[in-house]
Amino acid sequence: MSTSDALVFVVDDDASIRRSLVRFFRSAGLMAEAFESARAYLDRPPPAGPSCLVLDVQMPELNGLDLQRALIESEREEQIIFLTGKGDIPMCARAMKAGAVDFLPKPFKDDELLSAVERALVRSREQRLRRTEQSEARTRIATLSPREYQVFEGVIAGKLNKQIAADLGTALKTVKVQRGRVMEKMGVVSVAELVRQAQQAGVAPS
Amino acid sequence: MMHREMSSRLVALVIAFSLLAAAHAGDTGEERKNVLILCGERPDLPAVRAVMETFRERFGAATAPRVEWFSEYFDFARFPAEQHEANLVRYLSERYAGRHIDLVLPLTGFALDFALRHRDQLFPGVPMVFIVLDPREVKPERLPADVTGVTAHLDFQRTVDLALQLQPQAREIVAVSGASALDASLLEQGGRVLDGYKDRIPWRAVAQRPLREMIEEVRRVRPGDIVLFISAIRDSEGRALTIPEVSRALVRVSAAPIYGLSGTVLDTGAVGGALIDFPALGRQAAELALKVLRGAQVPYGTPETDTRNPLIVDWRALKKWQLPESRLPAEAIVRFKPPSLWKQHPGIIIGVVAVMAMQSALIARLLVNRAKRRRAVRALAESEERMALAADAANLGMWVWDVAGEDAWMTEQGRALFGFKPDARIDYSAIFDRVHPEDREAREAAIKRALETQGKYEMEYRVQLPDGAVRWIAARGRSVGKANGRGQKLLGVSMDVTAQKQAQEALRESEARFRTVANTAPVMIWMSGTDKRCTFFNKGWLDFTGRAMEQELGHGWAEGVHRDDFDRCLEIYARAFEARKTFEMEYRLRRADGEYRWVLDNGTPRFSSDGVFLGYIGSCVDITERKQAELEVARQRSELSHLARVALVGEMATSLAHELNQPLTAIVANASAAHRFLARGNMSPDEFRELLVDIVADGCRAGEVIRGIKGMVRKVESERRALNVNEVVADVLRLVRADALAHGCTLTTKLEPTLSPVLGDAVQLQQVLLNLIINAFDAMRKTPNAPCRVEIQSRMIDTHAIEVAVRDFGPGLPADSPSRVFERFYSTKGDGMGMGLAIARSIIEAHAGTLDAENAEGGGARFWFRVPAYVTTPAEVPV
Repeated sequence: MSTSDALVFVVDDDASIRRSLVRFFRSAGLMAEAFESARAYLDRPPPAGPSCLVLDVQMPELNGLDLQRALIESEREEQIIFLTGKGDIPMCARAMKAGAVDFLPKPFKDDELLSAVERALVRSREQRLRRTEQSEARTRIATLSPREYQVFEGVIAGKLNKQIAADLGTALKTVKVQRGRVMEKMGVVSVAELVRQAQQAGVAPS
Repeated sequence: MMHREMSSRLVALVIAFSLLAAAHAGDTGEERKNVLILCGERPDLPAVRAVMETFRERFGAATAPRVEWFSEYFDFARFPAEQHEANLVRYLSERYAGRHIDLVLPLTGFALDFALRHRDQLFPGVPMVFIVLDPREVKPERLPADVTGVTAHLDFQRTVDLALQLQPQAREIVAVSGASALDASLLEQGGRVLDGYKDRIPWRAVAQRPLREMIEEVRRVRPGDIVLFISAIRDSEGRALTIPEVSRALVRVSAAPIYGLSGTVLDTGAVGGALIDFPALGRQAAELALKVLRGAQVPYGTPETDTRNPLIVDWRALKKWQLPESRLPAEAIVRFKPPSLWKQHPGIIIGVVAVMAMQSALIARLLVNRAKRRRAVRALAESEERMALAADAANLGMWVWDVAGEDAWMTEQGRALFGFKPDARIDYSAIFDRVHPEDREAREAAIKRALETQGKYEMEYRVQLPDGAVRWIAARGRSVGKANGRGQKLLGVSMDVTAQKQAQEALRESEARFRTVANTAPVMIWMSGTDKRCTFFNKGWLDFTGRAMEQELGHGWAEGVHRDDFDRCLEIYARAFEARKTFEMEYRLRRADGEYRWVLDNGTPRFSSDGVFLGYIGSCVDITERKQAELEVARQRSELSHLARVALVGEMATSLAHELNQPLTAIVANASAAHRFLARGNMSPDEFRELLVDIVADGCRAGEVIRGIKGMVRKVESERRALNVNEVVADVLRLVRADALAHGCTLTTKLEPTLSPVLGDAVQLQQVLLNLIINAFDAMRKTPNAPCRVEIQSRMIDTHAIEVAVRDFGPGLPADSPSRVFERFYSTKGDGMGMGLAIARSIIEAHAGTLDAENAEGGGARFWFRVPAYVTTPAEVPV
């Protein structure tokens, strides 16, 4: 694996598991960092680069599933692989539904764990990409004037210039000028591109 | 006659005084002599002590010469002369170089040999007086003229004769001897004498053994045979011994009488023998030494150097082994005999008899010389007065019976004894009539014997008084004058012994009554005396063991006690005995049919009415059935608790699987890592070593979990040993950790660090604790909103109990009656937990503890058990 910037986090209350997993990931060329409890992980600033979380289900106080929930609630979307010595189907289903990458039994098979980590890191990277695009789109949108934003909304909703002018109560000519400024500020040449940017920024057509 | 005896005593005294005076006159006053004692043995040997004590005592009594003592103890028995001789010679010559020694006193043959060998170098020309225990060690022809001494000798012949006289039925003589050179040489000497008896009785030796084997061998000697204890200075393991200590040990175990040869066996319980009289030896040697110091020469072999061992017998040993005193030869000296009624007042009686003798002499003189009659009458009156005074004091009646004349004279007390009026005429037939018809014949015979042999008359008989009352009289007299001759008289004293007789009778009756009760009681009863030996067994006991009273008496009963129980019982008995406390013990006793049965034996000390300790009495019941029932209950409990344990472990299976998965996961991860590192070839040896260490540690951890499970499900016999409860808690915590996680429960512990140990079964106590903890988890499930928390606490209650408590924060127990939990659980069928608690309680009760529950302050239930602390005083070890 060539993902040298990627980071694997291990959270397990068992010290020997922590040591062995960190060692194992290192042997596979992955940087790994271990935490003895969910609380300790939460205290760490969120990772900057691509990462994944290998998480023990059974832990005192906050268990693995609790940590997953806490991360979702604080809008952190770590890619999580659960390890459990005693997993049952409902527990597994709950974890997967909440977006876990995989749910593996202890002891694990090494290639299974590695491929799960690989998948998780791919997802993490994609996620990061999405986040970059979104923030770029949002930055561009932020440069639009209120009137230009109204025109932007109209365009991505698939309205014709005539309809937009009618909605806004302005002249068709004015709309055309403003539409040209929007396309310029958003750095696009086609409506399709504009719509994609809007999607990336999370702006839904009203 | 008495008169003559007295005067001869006086003569002896006068002679003794004059001798002393002569000795005194011969003294030169300030003369000082140096005497060196060379003892071949160690100073603490009783024989050596006895000899030296009287030796110095005799010197002390002599006013001159004044003596300066020097002593050297070589202890050749343990430090053989041949190894140390050169050093010893150098040491002595240096030590005494500047001193003039006037007399050397070698003690023992080895010392004499040594002194003679080095005489020229060490003490040239210094006279010697030796004390040697075996005449064979002295070569008279090689002794210089100025070397003399006394030799004791072991008188096997007369000792064996004594034994055979006392025990004509004996089948064997067992000769006991130690392992030192002296012991061996004495045994050899004795063997030659014993060989001479071969036609009458066979013999064998117990020698060259460790002390305990000697004791064991003697324990096995049949009652009625003869144990001849020759000597034991050292045993085969090199242990230094003394004759009294070995003799005491042998007496304690032996069913057969023990005879000895050395005076030091006296008062150890042995019968005795022709014993070396060590004090006499010391005294004789001292006499000799005094003479030598004064310049006399007394060559060895003269009568002054000769010794003869007195035949001494311990009366108590005769009684113990039931040897009849009547078989003793005339020369035997009986020691330790309690004084008889007469012996308690010898002064009075001798006095009275003497006065009477004088009186008769006076009467005789009156007849010869009438002229002195008046004076004689006066003297007689005076004498009578004195006599009456003495008799009055002793409440004695005196009488004289003129055999030919039939007439009898009696003092007033005497008349009162027989119910005669003071002025009534008394003759032989008058007295005869008063004697109880049943006793007349015996009394006549006794009188006849006294008259014929001109000997003593001694008799106890009943007198029937005119008013019908019966009185016991003890009479003692002596025949005076020629047998059947004219003037033969019988004179003596009589005493009222009715009270003593009645007391004896009452005692006999009460004993008879006791025996009747004891023999009809449905239990086995035994009694022992102050020496721990058994003196009585009731019919119940004898029927049970199928043995005769004689076989069981003393220590005979011990043969029936199971070998494995014997030492323990003996210890309990001895310990209680010393403390005069009651005891209770269980042991297996052989029944008449050969089967060993468990009996429960309760012993109680006996005391006389005035508080004197008399021994013990005990009763036993056969508790084999009860014991078997107990064993069966224990077996069932163990079976049940095993099932419960299996069920418990089953309940925890998934948690335990998790507990096992943790180390396995770590092992797999580490192994995979190693695999990859090796493939890439970029692992340092240090790193690799570290990884392997981790794998080993995790492997061990997995093993421990498995052992824990195995311990719980394995079917084992209950095994009690001293345990630290905190370790039990730690073991259980390892097992339940996973379960606690699964329940989302926090386990906290408050363990007192210094707990006394408890005597218990580790697996069973783990089971109880496991039960309580899992119960606590379950209880917490009923209150899902409270934080799941379980507390385990251990602590000492005072100093005698240990408490372990498991506290949860669940809904608690029913407030009205917390203990109903146990009932309800008990009646809940099928549910493993319900059975579990009931079994837990029975386990704790089997540990002499209690298991209970209560509502804790601040909510939740608290289950606790207490078990007694294990105190390692052997007396309290459960049997």
